[in-house]
Amino acid sequence: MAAGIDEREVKFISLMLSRAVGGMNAEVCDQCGKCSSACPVSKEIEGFNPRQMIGKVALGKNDELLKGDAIWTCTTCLKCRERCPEEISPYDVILILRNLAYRAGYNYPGGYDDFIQGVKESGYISRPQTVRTRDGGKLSREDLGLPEVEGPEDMERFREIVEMIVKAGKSR
Amino acid sequence: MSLEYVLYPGCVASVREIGYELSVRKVFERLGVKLSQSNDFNCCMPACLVHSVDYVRGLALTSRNLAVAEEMGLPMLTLCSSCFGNLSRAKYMLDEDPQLRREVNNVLASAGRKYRGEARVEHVLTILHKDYTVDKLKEQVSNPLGDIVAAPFHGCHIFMPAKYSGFDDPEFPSKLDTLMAATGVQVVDYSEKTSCCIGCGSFFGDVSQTASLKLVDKILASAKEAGADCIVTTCPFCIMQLEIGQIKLRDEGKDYGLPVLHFVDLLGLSMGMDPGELGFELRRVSVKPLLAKVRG
Repeated sequence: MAAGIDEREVKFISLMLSRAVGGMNAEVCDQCGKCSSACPVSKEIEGFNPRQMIGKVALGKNDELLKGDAIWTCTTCLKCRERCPEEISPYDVILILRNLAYRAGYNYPGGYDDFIQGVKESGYISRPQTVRTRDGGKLSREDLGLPEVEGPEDMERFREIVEMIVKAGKSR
Repeated sequence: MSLEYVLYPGCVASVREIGYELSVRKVFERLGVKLSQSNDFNCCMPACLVHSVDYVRGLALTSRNLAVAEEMGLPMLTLCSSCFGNLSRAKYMLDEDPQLRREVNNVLASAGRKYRGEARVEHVLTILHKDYTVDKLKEQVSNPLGDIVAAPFHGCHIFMPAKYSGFDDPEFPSKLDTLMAATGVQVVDYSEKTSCCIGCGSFFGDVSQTASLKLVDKILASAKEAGADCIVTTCPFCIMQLEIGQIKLRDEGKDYGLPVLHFVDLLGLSMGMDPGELGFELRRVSVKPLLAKVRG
């Protein structure tokens, strides 16, 4: 087990694995490689390989995955999940590993903090702004006659949940 | 036939792709489809972002939107395939897993909400295909676009995994093609038709951005080789990736000059609508060569 994850986290890990992977037993994976051949990232980024990632999980080498960049490079296109003949989903496994890395305080892309902050402020990742036309002009939603986009009405209660998400992470 | 939906704005469409939102609103107005407004939605909390760091609470905030729509008693119209995918995923998971539903509802209760299992999640394309129907759509086409050769780009989250939304076959998708054909365009097949634009991975550092540009290059080259005049997508994120990538590739001496449209843009043109109503001045890659073929 990775250093820095306590017993509470172990319980969390087990629950997550059984939930999102469902009936998956890593021993069921035949390492056929259909996931990797479907993966658009594998085609372009050397070393990104969902088949190997499932292999590492099966061998209990989660720590290596949790500390590396690979789990954050997945684009969540879901092709691996669609193609797996055994209905093992590298996509779901990667989401779980990300949850664990976040909770364990390992590195995750800085972009996440910005997104969560944006959501906390307004309910959305970003707020409407003017956009550029091809000719270099600027247009707002109002200019196009589009209605305002309002955030959640019960913003305070909404923020409390977002705050719990922030607190679940350990590193920052 | 009276169709009504509550429009779910989503971040990409309402912030960065407002020309697309305009196009959807104008085209649906012409089709007589009513779009209601809510000021109580929040971000769909994409799985690639929020579920990635907090699975259950992320899912709860996604599901909050389903609860809001349930209270209004209207099906949701999503503009973005990722919003559609995330909301469909949440609905599927909560409908299939009673324990997860209880946990999510526990979180939602602190925001005064409850998911009851009645929400219906739709997308611009699913509505046009199943609710409005292709036959009725054909009746609206007054200006068939027979001179245009168009390459369909399906994107990922509108149909993957198949069991979430059940909209189309992810391996051999055909519904976007069918809708496009209704506008009179010549639909071409090409090798990268079901590839990924890496929109959902493009934020996270140089590695994803490098991959993104390489894939966009492949998609554009493949469509161009098939003789396409334009690429037609289902998702505002795909539009952004394929346009911005195209502009970046100019620095490498590759100028594809391939306009990227959403299906509703094509539909609007085939219904004889003015390009000004479809937000075309906001398209990053010029659509002028294409418009010449519409009017010619």
